[in-house]
Formats: sequence, structure tokens, C-alpha cells
Amino acid sequence: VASGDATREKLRAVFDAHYEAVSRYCHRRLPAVDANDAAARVFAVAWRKIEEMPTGDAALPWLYGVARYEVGSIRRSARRRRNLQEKLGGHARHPNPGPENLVVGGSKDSELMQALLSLRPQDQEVVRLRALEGLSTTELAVAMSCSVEAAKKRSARAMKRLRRAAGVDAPHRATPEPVEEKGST
Amino acid sequence: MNDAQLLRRLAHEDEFAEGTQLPSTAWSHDEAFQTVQRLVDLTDATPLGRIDFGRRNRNWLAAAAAFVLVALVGVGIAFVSTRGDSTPVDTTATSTTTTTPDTTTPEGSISQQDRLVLDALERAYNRGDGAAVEELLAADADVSLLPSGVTPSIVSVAARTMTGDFYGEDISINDCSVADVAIVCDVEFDDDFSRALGLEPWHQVWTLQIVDGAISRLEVDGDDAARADAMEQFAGFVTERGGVEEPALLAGRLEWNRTPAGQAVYAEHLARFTAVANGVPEASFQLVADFHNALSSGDVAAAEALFAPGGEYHPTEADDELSAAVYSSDDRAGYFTLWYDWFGTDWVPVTCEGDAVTVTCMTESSGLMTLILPGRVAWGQVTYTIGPDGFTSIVDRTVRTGGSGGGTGNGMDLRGFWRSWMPENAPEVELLWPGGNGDPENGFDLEFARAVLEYYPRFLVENAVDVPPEYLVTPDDRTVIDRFVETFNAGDPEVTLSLLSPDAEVVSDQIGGAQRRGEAGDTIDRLFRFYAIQDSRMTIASCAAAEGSEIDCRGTFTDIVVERSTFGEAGLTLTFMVDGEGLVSHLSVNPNSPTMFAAYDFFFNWLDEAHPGDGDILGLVTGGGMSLQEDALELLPIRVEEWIATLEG
Repeated sequence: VASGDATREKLRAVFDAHYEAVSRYCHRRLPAVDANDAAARVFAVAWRKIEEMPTGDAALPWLYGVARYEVGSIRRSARRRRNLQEKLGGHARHPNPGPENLVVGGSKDSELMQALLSLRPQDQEVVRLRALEGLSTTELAVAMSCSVEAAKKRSARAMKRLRRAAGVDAPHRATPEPVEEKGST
Repeated sequence: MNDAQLLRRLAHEDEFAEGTQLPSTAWSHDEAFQTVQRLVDLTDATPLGRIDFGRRNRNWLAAAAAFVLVALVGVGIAFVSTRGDSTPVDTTATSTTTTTPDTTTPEGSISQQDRLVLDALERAYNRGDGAAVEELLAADADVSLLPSGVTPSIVSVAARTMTGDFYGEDISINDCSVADVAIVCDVEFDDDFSRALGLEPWHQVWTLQIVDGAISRLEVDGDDAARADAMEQFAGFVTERGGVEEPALLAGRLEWNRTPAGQAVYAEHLARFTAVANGVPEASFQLVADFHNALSSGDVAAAEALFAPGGEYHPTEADDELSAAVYSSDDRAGYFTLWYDWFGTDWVPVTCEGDAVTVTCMTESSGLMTLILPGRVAWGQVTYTIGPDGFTSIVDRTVRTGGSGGGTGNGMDLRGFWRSWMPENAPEVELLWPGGNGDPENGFDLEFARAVLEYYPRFLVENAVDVPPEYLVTPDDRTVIDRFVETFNAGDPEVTLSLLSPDAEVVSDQIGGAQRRGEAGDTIDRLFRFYAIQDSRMTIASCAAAEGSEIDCRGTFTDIVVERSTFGEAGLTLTFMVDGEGLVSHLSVNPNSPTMFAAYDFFFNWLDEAHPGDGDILGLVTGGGMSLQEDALELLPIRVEEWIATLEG
């Protein structure tokens, strides 16, 4: 067993390197009050799983994968909370948008963001990870816990659906322009 | 547009892009790391991936293969129903595979590491955290649910199976013992449904195999016959009231309860069932539910309409130190607007009991006013007295703190808040309530409530309570807004206009919802002249930062027409933008109450009778917005004066 001090030093290094990116990830998806909690919880999980956490360029996508679960948990808690509030009487209340809608609703390009919001949650996440976190498909595979091939397919499908939802024409060329890739591992 | 371009367009809209400033509420690097350390210290003392199982575990690993072959048959038979029995499970009594009784040892023999895993499982389940449950399962873990006849045994559904099973369940993993190569635990379930029926918590037997800190196998068995009976009773209740579309689904309760739709329907009917089960007649419960829903959704008028004429609202109990407040119909709407609409207070009756005349509910409140409390929830008790025409009295003890059932802690103690913080920071309140002693000079009236709500967010911030930014407005911004309102009320539109920036935009959502948008100059001038002619007065109750640089203010708006009608003050929402140089750069005005519309209807009905056609001449048409022609502005005060004279005559 690694010593406690060594483990904490390792955690501190990971935290220093990636906290800001993880925090931005969470702020993009949750209200500030929840985003802080979610980001902290990501690193608590990282500590528990520090032995299996990838190193180098793969660490951040892996942390994004954990963050995805944490954000999901918080959204689920919020839904439960709303369910509890709706418990009485079966009367429809004013719509209470989830935290993701509140966050995205404040974005500047509401048309494109609305198109994004209309996608299935998994498609939304794929597009966000690519556009906002700037992940390559290789990194996307790490974050989504799937193979690179599956990540490519998911990405292509999500972009197709986004294009359809936003009413954006597909590129008119025989060979699609490859999406910009960054730092594969 | 290709994919890369589309992604770049999305990235361009990212307000949290690298290099941009995160919101001021985001934790600093050090602050966040301290939190992580606290989480690490408080949750799991040992990283799961590095649990040292020692010699015993190596024996476990050797036995694991044998277990797979034998335990499915043997341990399955060993499951013992322990419903209503909290004593440790004696698996030796029925197990056919226990060849050495000595291997069954008391709970104390469960290794600390195994207990850690079980505790983590319990916590994850109870907070509905499927991801955390999955983390505890080995990659090839097998999960079996025996009693329902559903045996998913599929890893991918394990977390959902574990956490989505039943609405409002909490588990306690008790009385574990080692039997053969498995750990057998008695798991107690405490859920909303059982509680509503007055049943004791029910039990299951979980048999687990834990290898290297991960659960490699979990089998669930137990006698849930009591719960099945209860479900049948519940299904009968629902079917009788025709309240569920597919009552047959109730029979397949486990599957049904796993679906979000099933949980929602279940929760809805459970609430009704609970109320009825506690003896509240459905009609009374319906009235209470209507009231709760109206307030929590910000529909103050709907809540107000549920009171009988002369009905009263007591925000605190009569013997409470804040007992002076009794809200009658004159000021109730304002109070409700502030507390439930503006500050987003949600108010949920949790359990109710009573009869056709009196209903008492335990309640749970959340919202800004409860941020300082543990769990950000206040508990209390509300007593509704019901007459033939609606509520004759509602006594609300919600503004109390801490602990289920309503305690008497200090979290919501306004006196403590004032005495410790108010004198230097809230002169307006200090004036109303010097030193927080005795009662405020004018009682706990609307003005006092407004003052509380104005300062409370700042009090929370200064006491390191995380307040959502939308509740905060800077003092400088507030000064501009106060000056604007003050000059407006002075009745000189020229002075008011001087506080608008040269390119200010004014949007007025006037009568009937027609929107007038003025960019500058004449339109703004006319708008303010219109208000001035009517001697309009704004009262700002409370302001909070909204999205972007907007500041939303709530208040009331009176003018001659409204005042002279029988409808009283009109609710008002103003959205300001302040340009940082002491000027208002944007103002939208939205009457948010039907009062103003009703008052103008009243006025125009009189106008039609007294001066047929004048409504058209004035260009003022209810339901169609208003036109601010010069001649109309000149004619309007004359007609208003005539109207007043008629009323007074």
C-alpha cells in the first residue's frame, strides 16, 4: 500500500493540473452552487481510484468521465427534489427547469443551444465534450468509457442530430472534412 | 457548415471557455482542495482500489471459484426471512452448504475493509447515486434479485436495480456475518410507502462477495410479502379513484417502480393515500394541496383566493415572540409575493392529519430564507382551519429551524440575525426595530418583511453562506434604483428622465400585455408623462441581480386609477440595468398583478357609460395596450378627475 502522504501528494499534483478544467466542465453543466460540489467530488473519486487513474494526457478525459457521473448524480438529486415537491395532490406546477436548462438557457446563442438541448442527453454530452472541452475522439473514448471506434460513431451520430435539430445543412463535399483532432494518446 | 465549424460555433458561445473568469461564486483553487480533503477524510478512509485484505482475503480468493459453483444453490437456500426482526441473521440454520458452522461468526468478524465497502454501498444507495454504486461493483459483478422473479444478473443494470427500485427508500445494512465464503447481511428498508401505511421497516437478506474492495457478487432475497400486501391495498385505493392509467402495472411493482413515470405516479398517489390514511377527508386535503401548490409556484392570487372573506394568515404561532403578525386580505398578497414568489420559497406538506374543519400538516420549506439551516430545509407545522368559503385561518410555524418535526434552534431566529448584524449594516431595519428589541413600531408588517428580505441575502453572504448570485445586488446599483424611484415619485418626469442614460431603452409591458419599446426621446418622455399625470408611485420591495447585468425588482405600483378603484395596489416587476455611471440604461416595467388590469377595466367601464367613445379618443383600450398621443395625455387627467368626483359624489 502506498503511504498516505505519497497518495495525497499524487492527488495534489492531479488536482493542481486539472482542477480548473474540471471546474469549468462542471460550471458549464450546473449552477455555480452545485458545480463547486461536483468538481470537488470528482477529485474525491480520483483519490479513491488513484491507482487506476490514467496518467499523462489521458488523465483529464478520465476525470471528465468521472465528472459526467457526478453531474448526472446532482441532476438526479435535483429531479428527486422536484418530484418530492410535486408530491402533493397531483397538481401541475409551473415548469421547473432542471439545472442543465438553466445553465444552457443563459447562453448567448440560444438557437444553437436550444438545438443542443433538444438532443438526447448522451448526444448532448458528446457534443459538449467535443465543442466545449475540446476533446479528440480518442479522448472522448476515455471520457465516455467506450472504444475509440464507438466514440467516433457516437460523435458522428450526435453531430448529425445536432445539425438536423439546428437546421444546419450538411457540408456539400464528397469527403467530409475531418474534425480537428487534438493530442491523441 | 462542417462539423468543425459547428463545434467552433458552439465553442464560441462558451461563457466558461479557458481563459475566461469563472463566476465569483466558484471556489478558489485552495478552497476547492480543502473541500476535496474534507471529502476524502469524511467519506472513505481508505481508497477502495487499495484495500489490503491480508491473509484472510487470500483465502477468500482461493475459495471464490468454489463459491461460484456451490453458493448459487447453497447460499440461495440459506436466505432467511428476517422481516420485523433485527437480530443477526443465522445462516447456519438452513444453509446446506455450511460444512463448518464455525465459519459463521458474529458481525465483529467482518473485516474493517469489508465494512468500509458495505458502508459505502449504503451511502451510495441512500443518496440514489447509481454511479457510486457502479464504482463499488467489480467489472464482471453479478447482481441477482431473487424474490421478484426478475433476475437481471447483468452488470449494466446493477446500479439501476440497486438505486431505482423503490421510491423514497433508505437502507441500513445491519448485522452482517461471514457465512462460508460470503458475507450475509440483514438489510432494513425504510420507505415512504411503508411509513404511510404505518408498517415497520421491512427487511431483505443480501449475500455479498467482496474481492479486492469491489463487490463481485450480490444476491438479494427476503420476505417482502407485507410490502406486497400493502401494494395491493394501495393499488385498490388508486384504482378506486381512477387515478392511474395502468393499474395493472401496480402488480408488477418492482418493474413499475423502476421507471421514472412509475415513480412519479406512485409519489403522487402516495401523497393522497397518506393524507386519506391519516384521516383527512379528500376535499380538505385538496384545499390544502391547492394552497401549497399555488404558493410554491408563485401564484399568489390563487393562494389568496382560497381564503374565506376575513380569513387570516398567521406566519408564526400566537405564543411565538414574532406573534404580532396577522395578515388579513389587505396585506396577505404582498407578504406571499415576497416570501413565496420573490424568494422562491418552496413549501411542502409532508404529512397531514385532520378532519373537515381542521387540518394540521408537518411541512418542509426551502429557499433563500433557509440557506443558513442544516440541509437548507426548515421544518414546521401548519394548521389550517377550513370554513364553508375557504380557509378562515392558517397558522404557519414553518419559520423555525433544525431537525424533523420543528425544533427551536437559531437558524431562522430573526432576532439573532438583527442583533448581531443589523445595527451597522441595516439602518433601515434598525430604524423600524431598534436593537431588535420588542416589536417593531408598526408590527411585523409588509414594510418590515420587505426590509428583512432586502438585507437577509447580504447577511448570509457575510456569514459565509453560499447565496445564489441572483439574490445579490450591489449597494451602488441599489442607490441608482432608489434615486430613480424617488425622482419618479416626485412626479417630475424631466428629473426622472435625467437619470436615464442617453441611449437608454425602456420597455413597458402595459395593460393587456401589449409591449411598448422606446429607444429614447419622445416615447420615453410620453411614457413617463403618462405615469406622472396619473400621479403614479412606485414602491420597490426588493431587488436581486438576475441574468447578465439585469436587476429584477419587485414592488407595488399605485396611480390615481388604481387607488380610486376598489382594487388596491398593483404588483409590479421592474427590470433595471445600471450602467455603472449612476444612470439607468434599461428599464422594463411589467405589472404582474391582475389588480391593475381590473382597476383600468373599472375606469373604462365608467368612461364608456359617462362619455361614450372617449375611451377611443383617449386611445386607451383595455386588452390592447395604450397609445400615448399628446391629446390623450392632455385629456386623461380631466377624465380621471371627473371619475374621482363621481365616485366621491
